Amino acid sequence: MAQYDAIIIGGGINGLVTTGLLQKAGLSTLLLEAGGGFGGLAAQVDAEGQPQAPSLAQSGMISPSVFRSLNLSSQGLSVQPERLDQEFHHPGYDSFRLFAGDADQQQAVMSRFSPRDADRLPVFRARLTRLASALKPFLERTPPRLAEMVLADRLELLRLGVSLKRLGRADLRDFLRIIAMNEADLLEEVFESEAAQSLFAFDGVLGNLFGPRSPNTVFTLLYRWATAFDGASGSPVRPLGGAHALVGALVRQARSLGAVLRSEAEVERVLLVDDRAAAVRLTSGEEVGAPLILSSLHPGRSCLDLLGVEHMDADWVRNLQHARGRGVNAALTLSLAGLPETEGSAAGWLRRRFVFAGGIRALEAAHDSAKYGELPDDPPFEASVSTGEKPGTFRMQVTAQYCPENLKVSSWQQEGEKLQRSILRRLEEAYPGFNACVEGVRMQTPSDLAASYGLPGGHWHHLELGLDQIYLLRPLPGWGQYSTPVEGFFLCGAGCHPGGGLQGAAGANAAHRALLHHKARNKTLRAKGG
Amino acid sequence: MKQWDAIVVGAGHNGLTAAAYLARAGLSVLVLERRDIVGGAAVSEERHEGFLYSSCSYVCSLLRAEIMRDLELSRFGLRIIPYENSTTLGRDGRYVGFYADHDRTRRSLARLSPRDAEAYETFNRDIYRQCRLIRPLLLKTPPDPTSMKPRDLRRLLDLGRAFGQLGEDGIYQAMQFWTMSCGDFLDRYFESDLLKGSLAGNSIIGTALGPYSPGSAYVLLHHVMGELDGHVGAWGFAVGGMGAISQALAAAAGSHGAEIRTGAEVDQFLIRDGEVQGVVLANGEEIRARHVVSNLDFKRTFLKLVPEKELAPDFLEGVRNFKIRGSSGKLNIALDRLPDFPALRDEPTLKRGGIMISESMEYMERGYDDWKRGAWSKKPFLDIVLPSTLDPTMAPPDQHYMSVFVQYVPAKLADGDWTPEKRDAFGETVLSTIEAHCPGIRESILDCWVRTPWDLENEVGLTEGNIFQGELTLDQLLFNRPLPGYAQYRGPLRGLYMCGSSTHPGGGVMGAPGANAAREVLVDIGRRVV
Repeated sequence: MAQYDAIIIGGGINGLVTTGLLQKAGLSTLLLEAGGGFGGLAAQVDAEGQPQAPSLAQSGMISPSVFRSLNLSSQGLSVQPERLDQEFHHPGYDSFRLFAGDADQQQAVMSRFSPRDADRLPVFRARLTRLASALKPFLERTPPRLAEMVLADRLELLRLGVSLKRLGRADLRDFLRIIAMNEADLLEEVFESEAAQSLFAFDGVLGNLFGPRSPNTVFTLLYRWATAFDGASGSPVRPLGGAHALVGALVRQARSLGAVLRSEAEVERVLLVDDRAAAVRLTSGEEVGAPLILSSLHPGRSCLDLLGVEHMDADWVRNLQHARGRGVNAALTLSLAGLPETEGSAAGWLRRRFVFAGGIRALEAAHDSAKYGELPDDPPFEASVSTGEKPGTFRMQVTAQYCPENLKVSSWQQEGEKLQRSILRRLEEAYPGFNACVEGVRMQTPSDLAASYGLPGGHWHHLELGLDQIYLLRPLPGWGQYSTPVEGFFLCGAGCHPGGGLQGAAGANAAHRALLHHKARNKTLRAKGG
Repeated sequence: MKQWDAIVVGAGHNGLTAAAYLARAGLSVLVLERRDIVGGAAVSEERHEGFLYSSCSYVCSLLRAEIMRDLELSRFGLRIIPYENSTTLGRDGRYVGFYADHDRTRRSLARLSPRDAEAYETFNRDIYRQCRLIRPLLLKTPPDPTSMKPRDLRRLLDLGRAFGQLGEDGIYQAMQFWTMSCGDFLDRYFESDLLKGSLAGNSIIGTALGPYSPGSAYVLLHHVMGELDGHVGAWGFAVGGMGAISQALAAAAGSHGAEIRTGAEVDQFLIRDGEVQGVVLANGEEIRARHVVSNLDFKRTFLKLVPEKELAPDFLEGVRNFKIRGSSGKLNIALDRLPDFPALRDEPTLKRGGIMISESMEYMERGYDDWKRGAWSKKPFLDIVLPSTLDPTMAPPDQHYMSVFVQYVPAKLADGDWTPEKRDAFGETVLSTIEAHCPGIRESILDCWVRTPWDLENEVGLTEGNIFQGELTLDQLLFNRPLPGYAQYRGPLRGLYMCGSSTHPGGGVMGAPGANAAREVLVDIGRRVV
């Protein structure tokens, strides 16, 4: 049986980050990916790092500390993300475009709706940025444990306390007041026009089964702001070259460090020896051994399916089964033979994020349908365009929101068509001639995503992001430090703090915890041997 | 001109409590009440001959035992009779009974689901643990987490210690409890829709949240943390209606020398150099006092009684943004006989407590959706009590007083203001809902008094008719209530205090805000409550 120091299950962003970091620390590391390519939900590339499927993560960025630790610039990745223009389409009024970093243009556009809101926009963004910076240490670092606190945990708590205090009195009060609020209340406090409210409303609910009036959504908005926006200009960001470039760099870097990356290698079972993780068995029957095994798959799948319920106590199993991961996103890829001519240069299309969402009222109404397991009439969605394989062709990636995984009265076989029609109709309305350019549509409904990525519930962060499922409470209360009840078996995926996206923070934190464990174990082994 | 030590504006139960504590400490106290009766929303009114209505609030549980003891309310005639049994009615004649006899409750739950009967024990244990954390906080002034004053640091430490005593699991549970939705919370324990619908009732009463809204789990706790004779979560009737509580408080205040004037509407505070020095009545009379304590809600206090120029713009914006949403209505009905609920024919004792109509959480959530759209729930959640089954003073022999609490009813309708016709239509909706479970009820109605949030606002003086003087969401609890920096019962003007339910720990006939505010006044003049 082949033997490694560490095996990583699942080759999404977090799995790749964990692999790179462990290999860099000197552990011989093997990554096993079930699918044909790497990148998972974020963006798929083949073994050579070439784009395979379009990106579901339309904006986001890798945590700067992960970027530095893995020295990704050596793989040609820029630390500076690309800032996107945004174009908003509403049923009720004219669509409008905000150019990234052009404060005067944005001011002029928003003044059309309300001069007061236009003035307040930069102030509100600055406020979000300050509060998001206070949230960042919580989001990027390993949460402390409250029981049996070791010195490191106490120091961590102190560090958090200090970072909050540094906000200053007024901002700390603001933070403590609004963090659990619903975004609709906050946006209505600040802005009078629906247009200005709509600049933020969609981002606070994207990915979760929350409506703008669900308490918690100020937190999810701040989360998005901290992880997928450039605070100063208020523009969404993505890695230069798209998420594919990031995944490609991660794959190449892990390999150049010496890690072994295998695709088409599906793990069927994690094997234990003396109650410790010891090896994995692939569906092919092959077994590979390692004293450290980290899974970036959904926590429920990792523990209940790969490990087996017999290794965990009943409470742990029950809690895992109750962890919420209600998927609400469908992904559509439109192959475009060209772009509608009326709409200017291709370059403009390629650096734009399209938001077809509407204001608070429309979002809330759509959410009301989704919460009962019904597809809303016109689900809100975001989209972005990338170049296609052949010159002159393009691809549009659409991420639709409020598409419940568990439809109550209907099924995705029936509703899929309705969803596709609604999206194409709205694109055609916005860009006459658009549909004539569409050559093909590939749709992944939430149940497709659930099936192909092994996500019970179909949530793209594995588990819903909300105040009750983050930090100390993610994936389960008291298990925020990436370990599991089985020694040597760790979780390193989006189901752990701080969730998925393109950050790679969960993978990095998990690698750090696994290394601590590895060192402690070696020390004991050496002591025994000596 | 006489100068009082303290004037209390508004003779609600909190104003009376504050007055009683202040008078008991030896201060000269004047209570000014606009209406001709004292009690605010805790009143008994005779609208139909021979019948006493607890016309607004209708049950007693939250009134703090410490206050009853300190103010010797039983000496002033207050008697509380606990509910005998309670029930929730579902579809098709199904019901679940909650009995004083624990084993009977178990059997009743087991009829719905044996698993739920087991889970109910765990549920109660977990709830009780959270109540133990919160209850000691009710009669304490919230700490200011941004302050470095020794007193605030001590309070913060106390709060931390109280948390610490919960143990690790308890802390995580508390964190989840305060942030998650009641729906998610109950789904962890139970499978029966009717049971969940029944227990979730406490999470929506008086609140502009649905059971699926994050944060609603806390509201559930808020309602069950009361106690009667040491029984946590027990509810009861005050003999003579809720007005009896106010009467006892008024008598207690009077016995210590406080003077209460009804029919005395305060028009404005008397403000000199940023200090409140008394009040001006609507008839122009000026009354001076060293301390003025307002029992009115946060919005009324600062938007009606203080000229705008006296307040900083930031503070004023905070007041305007205070969330105080009417969501409840009430029917007071005089019946010529005991109503016949066919489902309860074999169990007459179930009428001697709360009778809820709520078949599931989805039923409530759909009711909430109506409210969000600016309409009253087409199928409302009802909490019905028949106080006259236990207290013969409420109705003539063999006749009965029925109090029907209704959730959700908006303060403003989407199609314009409330009119008498709309009020009647609303009453019809409620009666039809009752009729579905109690055929023939209409023939036995002698009088039916329908009250909407508009009525509560205009008669009782609660902004938007919100029964808690402000939403009970995390952004408005503890040190955030009513506004960060003003949670210690002092307003931004010297000499001015707040003692209404807008302050910590919020609404319900609890008396805690009144007692806490009185304590802070006494702290400021260097006296201690004895």
